[in-house]
Amino acid sequence: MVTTSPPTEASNVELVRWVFDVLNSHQSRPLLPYWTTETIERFPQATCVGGEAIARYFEDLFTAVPDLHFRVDTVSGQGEDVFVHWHLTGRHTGAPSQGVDATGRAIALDGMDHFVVRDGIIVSNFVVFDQMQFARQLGLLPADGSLPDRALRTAFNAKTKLLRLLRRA
Amino acid sequence: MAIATPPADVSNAELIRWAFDVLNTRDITPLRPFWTDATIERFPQGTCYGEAAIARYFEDLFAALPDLHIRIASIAEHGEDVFVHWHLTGRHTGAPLEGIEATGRAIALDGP
Repeated sequence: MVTTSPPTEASNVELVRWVFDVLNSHQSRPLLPYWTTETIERFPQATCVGGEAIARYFEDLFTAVPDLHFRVDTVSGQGEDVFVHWHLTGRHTGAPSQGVDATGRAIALDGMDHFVVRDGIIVSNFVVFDQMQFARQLGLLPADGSLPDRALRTAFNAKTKLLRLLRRA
Repeated sequence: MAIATPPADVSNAELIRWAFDVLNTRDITPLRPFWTDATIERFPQGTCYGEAAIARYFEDLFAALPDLHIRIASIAEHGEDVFVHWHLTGRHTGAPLEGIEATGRAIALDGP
């Protein structure tokens, strides 16, 4: 059972570790007191401003990936800054995610978070993961180096060459 | 030039700060002694194993983006782990990158 509040007098690193425990219980409500209406969470595909928007983001994610799990690989904190290297696993069997209907595919992603924690409140979190890897795992983008992937690059280069010729003309 | 030699007796975070300063000179030579044949550098688009492969990765990047610059936004260390939040800027005016020929486009990227 995950506690609904972080350990008393938690350090910034302990607070962030607790946030991951809460997310792994597929809840976002216990986190609301630690976000304000101004907290900014920047994901690769969207920026959420305020606790309500961030909570909704995670709720949508739990609905899309019902067996979602974050493993915390490394944490490092210095002053207000807390960095986390995480590994996410799950299967897209639920609701659509990023406009993509469930395909049942397995997702395994590495990412990093940069939290800024001030006076026990999360001011911001900058989240990075490989969006192309994610899109490929969802089945949205062709595999790296596959025929459709190479065709896309070839077509893009042809467009660049054409534009270059037109500019010179 | 002072940057050619790493600062002595510094923390891991300070060593990494120096490594970014070196990358911003677009000459990776001073970094070579800090990579071994077993060093792994995992980029989103590919994993480089060993000093030679990592050096080639950066040389290709400098050739593609001749005005590449990486600014450190934030850094934190804990034992052997050093995290850097950086901001990369440059313009793709040089060699092809990832199989994409130069378009002259500006790139501005945040990384962990």
